[in-house]
Order: sequence, then C-alpha cells, then structure tokens
Amino acid sequence: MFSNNVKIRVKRTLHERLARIAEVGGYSSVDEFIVHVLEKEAGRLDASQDDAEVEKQLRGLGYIE
Amino acid sequence: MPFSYIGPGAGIALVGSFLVVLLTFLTALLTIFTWPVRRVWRMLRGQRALRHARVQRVVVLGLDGLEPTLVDQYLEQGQLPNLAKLREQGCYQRLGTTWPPLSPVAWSSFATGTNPGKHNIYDFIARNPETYLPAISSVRIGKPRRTLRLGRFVLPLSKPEMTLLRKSKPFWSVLGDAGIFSAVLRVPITFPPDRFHGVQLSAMCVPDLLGTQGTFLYYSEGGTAERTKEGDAGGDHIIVERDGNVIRSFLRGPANPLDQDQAELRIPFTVVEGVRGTDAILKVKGQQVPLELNKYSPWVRFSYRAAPGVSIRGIARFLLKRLHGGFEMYSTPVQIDPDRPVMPISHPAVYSNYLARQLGTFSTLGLAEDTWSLSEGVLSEDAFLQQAYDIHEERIAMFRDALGTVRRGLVVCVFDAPDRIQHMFWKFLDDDHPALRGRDNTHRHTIANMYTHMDDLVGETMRRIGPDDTLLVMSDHGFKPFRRCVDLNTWLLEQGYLALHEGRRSEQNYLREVDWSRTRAYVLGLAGIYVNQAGRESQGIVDAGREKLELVAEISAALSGLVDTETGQIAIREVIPSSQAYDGPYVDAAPDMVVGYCGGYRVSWDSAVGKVSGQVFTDNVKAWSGDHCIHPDLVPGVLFSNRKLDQRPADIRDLAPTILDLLGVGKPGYMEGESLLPER
Repeated sequence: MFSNNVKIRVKRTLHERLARIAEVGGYSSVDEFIVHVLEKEAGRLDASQDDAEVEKQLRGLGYIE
Repeated sequence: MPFSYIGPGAGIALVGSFLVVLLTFLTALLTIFTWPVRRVWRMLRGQRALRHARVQRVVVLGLDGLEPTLVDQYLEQGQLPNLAKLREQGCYQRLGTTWPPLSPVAWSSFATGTNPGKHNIYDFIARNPETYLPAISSVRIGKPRRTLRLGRFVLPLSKPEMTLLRKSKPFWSVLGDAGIFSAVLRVPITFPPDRFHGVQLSAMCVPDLLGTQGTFLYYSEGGTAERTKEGDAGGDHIIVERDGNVIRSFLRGPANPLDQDQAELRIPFTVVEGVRGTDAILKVKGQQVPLELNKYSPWVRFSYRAAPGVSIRGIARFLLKRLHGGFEMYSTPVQIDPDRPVMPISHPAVYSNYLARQLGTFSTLGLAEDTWSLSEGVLSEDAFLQQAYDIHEERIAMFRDALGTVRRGLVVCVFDAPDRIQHMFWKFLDDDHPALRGRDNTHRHTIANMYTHMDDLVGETMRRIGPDDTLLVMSDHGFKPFRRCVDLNTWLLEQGYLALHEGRRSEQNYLREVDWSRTRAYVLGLAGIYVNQAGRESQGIVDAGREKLELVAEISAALSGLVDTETGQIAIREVIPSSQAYDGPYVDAAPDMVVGYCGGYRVSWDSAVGKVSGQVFTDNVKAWSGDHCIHPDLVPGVLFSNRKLDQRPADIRDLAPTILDLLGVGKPGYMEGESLLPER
C-alpha cells in the first residue's frame, strides 16, 4: 500500500535463464529486463494521452516552439 | 506539510494519505535511533570499498556545451589560463558524443556508459505510436491509483506513479553498490532522482509548479500584449489592474489537486509604487519585498492553499521592468520550493532542504535559465545574462559544499550556463547570422566572457582539490550556429512520403492534420524520422519487414547530402538508420532514422513539433541562434584532466568505466565504454 513497487515471484531456474538473457541483451540487471518485457506488453493495452496534457508538459522547452 | 506531487501531464496530485504520513514519521524515528550503528557500519564499509582505488576522490566538472574550437581559440589567446594549466598537467582532448548530440541523450550515456539503445533516451521528446503525440522522453508521471471523494475534495490514497524513463544503471549506483559515496548535482536526466549510496539533486526536466518545463509570467497594464500572449510557447501574459499607485494582480499556480474541478490556485499580490519613481514594494502573503527597476528581487517564497491544512510551496523572482507610462513586470516560472518540495527533486528527499537551509533558496527548475522570455522580448539580453549567472552562482555554492563535505568518493556537478548562453548569444559571434540582421552587435564578447567565467570555476576547483584527487572537466557536446531551419515534414510531403487531409494546410502542432492512411514517414522531435509502421503505429501502413527496410534506405539516401536550394550549401551531412546508430534492448523505441545536419542547420521549429510549414528551408531569426543538434562528428565535447589519460579518441561512454577504474571498481558487463587510464 505504501510503495509503488510490488514483488513478483519466479522460479529460481527461470530467474537464472532470464539473467543470462538479460546479460546478452545488454540490460544492467535481470529486473530491468523483466520490467522491459512486461512494460512492452502492457504498453499495447494502455496508451491514453490527451492533447492538453501534452501541450502542458512540453511548454517552455526551449528547443521547440 | 509538503505532501503533494506535481508533474508534467498529471497536474498536482496529493501523494500522502494520513497513513503514509504516519509511516514516514515512524520510519524517521527508526532512522534516528539506528543512526550510530549505521554510521559505524558505513565507515568500515567505506574504508574497505576504496581499498582498490587509485585516488581518494574523483571530481567531475560538467560544462554543458563547451565548444572545442572556441576552447582552442581562447586557449591560444591566453584567455583560459586554468584550462591551459590543466592541459599541461594532464591532458586535453575531444570527447565523442552521441547520436543525436543532445544533452538528455549525451548525459544519459555519460551516466550509464552505454549508447542510447541501452538507456532509452533519444531526444527531449518521445512519441506515442498509438496517438502520434509527443511526450517528455525521460519521465512519466501518472495520477494516484486510488482516491477518496469527500464533498468537493478528492483525497488521494496512493502515490502517483513517477518513473524515470532512463534505463540501464548509472555509474554512481554501481559505486554505491561497492560502498562508495557520491554527490551528484544537477546532472541532466536525474528526475525523479536515483536511489543510491550518496546524494543527488535533480536537473533537466524537473517541472515548474504549473507542470510545464517553465512558464514565465509577464504582467502589464495592456497595450504591449503582442510581446507574449496566453498560449505562447514559454509565458503567460497577465493584464494587471491599477488603482492610483497600487497595481493588483495574482500569481498563477497549479490546478488544485484536491478540488474535484481542479480549479487553478492563485495568490493575489499588490505592487505599490515608491516615492523615488524607480522603486516599489511587492506585497504578497504578508511579505513586503522591495523592488527596484531592472533588478531581480531575491527568491520570494509563498504557498498556495489547496485545502484546510494543505499548502503547496513555490518560489519565484521578480523583475520590475517599468513603473510609469505602463506597468511591466516579469516573474520567473513559479518553481518547486527546495526547502519544502512538493515532489522529490533530490535523494535523499531532505537533501534539497539541506541545501536550501545551508546555502539559501535556489532555482529548482530543470531548464532553469528562461530562454523563452528572451526569445519573446520580455527579458533583455542583459537581464537574461544576469539570471543565468545568478543560477550559475547558486550551482557553484552547491558544488563548493559538496567538495567540502565529500572527501572520498565522487563529486559530479553540471553547469548549464555555457549551453544556455551559447544558444541565445551565438548570433553575436556570427555577423552574417539572420537573427542579427538589422541590429547592432551589442554582445560580441558575451560568449568569450562566459568561457572566462568557466575557466575561473576550473581554477577554483583546482585549488580546492587535493593531490590524491582526479579532476575531469568535460562537456557533453559542442556548439555551432543555427542559421537555417530545415522543415523535414514539408520535404516528406513534397516527396510523397507524408500526406495531409484533403484541402488542409498543416498549421497545427503534433501532426494533427496528417492523413495517416497515406503517410509512410513523419518527423517529431529534434533529430529523428519515424516510419508509419503497421502493427506499431496505430494507423501504420508500412510493413515492418522488407518494405520498411527499403523505405528507410530510400529516405536516408535522398536526404544525405540534401542541398539548401536558396544558399547552395549542403544542409544534411548524413542520415543513418537507427539500427546503425544504436544497439541494445530499447532500439525499438528509437526513431527509425537519425539526421546529422551540417553546421549552420537544424530541424525547423515547425517540424520539431509536427507542423508542416510548406517551406523546406527558412532563416532562423529567433534569439535562439546557436545549436548542437547536428551531426555528432561536428560537435564533439571537450575532456580535460589533471592526470594523463590514453590519447586514443575518447567517447562520452568512456567516462563511467574510467571513473569506476579510478575508484577501484570493475566495469559492469553492460557498459560499452573503456577506461581511459593507461595500463598500470
């Protein structure tokens, strides 16, 4: 309830396999790899964004008008 | 109690439930009681951690945007005696930068020792393939997951999501894992802050209280509204009311996160003209702040009342521009109060509070120097310079504090003044610059003076470090003039790669008038071209396989060597596919092609925000007259050190492994750079 992070359990054997893949893939850790895979999947279902929010968050960035 | 969060996009959202506050209090108590044990443990661990170190301390002085050709010129002219001394003592060389050579990209490569394919920052702006809308590339701020409605108030029961989108692992975290302490001050793309063994103050992309990258406020009695207007890129124009010698207006604030209608919070103020005719008193929230014409006020602190017992703290500085014949006043963007931050801008959270108490209030905005106010004519060149150097002095004070308190380990501090001043004053180095036409060259020496200021800082740093410390002075990229704009979306339109809806001229931002059913490629941001790829973009039409490969090859070939039809000069040196520029797990998020402009050129203002102006080449007449978002080979950074380094070509990715090596920590497998230290 107090943190924005939760833990997910995976089998140790799977974790070891994932660690090898993460290293080959250029990730800094197996956690980073797992989060990336999950975010990619989740991203397909969640893409809400509204124009006003976009305008607002970029406003004042010197590089663009 | 400060327990609100703002964010680009999310507005302000309350982070703390009462349970969170209670838990925080209990944690604080536990922290206090266990402090002696932890202190002893850290001391022992710290001694062990540095047993393989070659030095006591590494100090990195980051001078954003320092241009090597100007450094060479000023070294030769004897204007940079401290950098000359550093060169003699150790070394001076070019520092290879990233594709594209932009601060968020290059500093992320500095932090992680990797190319953008591994750290996921390719530009200031990323695009959402579902909506084709842009977003800040480095941070995502969501709304609280759970809320409770009580009458007209909405109380959040959980923290809003706040995620740094820079991936991989910065080297200060690697040092922390090895028990080595670091102070990391204002390194771009550290917002929200990293959690590691050390202290950090966030930088680039920390928003103001409105949730923007910096919205200044311009007050006038009217009649000069053309200077800036509601909805302009960087500022809001507020018309004041006058009653005799009293001016009345208000400070804009964030949308009230606790109000169901999210009504804008405001703080009323008055300005009372003084008797001398050049002075006034600003009365705000019970404070009386003396104002003098054309002089900045000190930072003024105030709080917006969101609900009974809940306030949001902000800071701003004011500049009285005119009193008689039409009142005019400028306010900096209203920023997060570092002493009572409404969102985390440092690690640990109390570090910004410590700095504010120790050194005084300071600017917290990511891009703190207000370039838009100069572009829109609200600030004069001299007023902008004053602001930039005031911020520079604040940064120096923090740097001195870190040098004084962190005796072993790492101190890094990045100074933005070189970048901002060169963006805004480059035209004065270039008599043919379109932005200088029809006006006198009033600031010919501003950039040279700035280099001297930076050299003074280098000299002071050299005096403050010990014989067992290594000093690295570096820039993330160089600088070149920005004379001509290239509207790549118009080029794509003319060549048939992009289409607009029937009968439309695209004058709106963010590709809103593009007909996606007939568009194969588009531009958004400062350096990338995207393919409208089926299965990735929501309305994609280009097959991800061979069709895309052929399209990328065709566009890259056509644009490489593109000639400016008006001047006859080559505008684009090279366009390369992202598969050639990047390597790593996040390459899918990169633009499909990266554009390397020639010196003097950059993507147009329109194209960067997804407009299609109708003209491929135009003059850049804005105050923002220098830039670096061109081919990386043309704008390397600089690297000075007080010790000898390998003379092979150095790359910004080499710094993380070099610093780890100096402090006796092995290079992790994911890092690509190599240590620049000669073999022992």
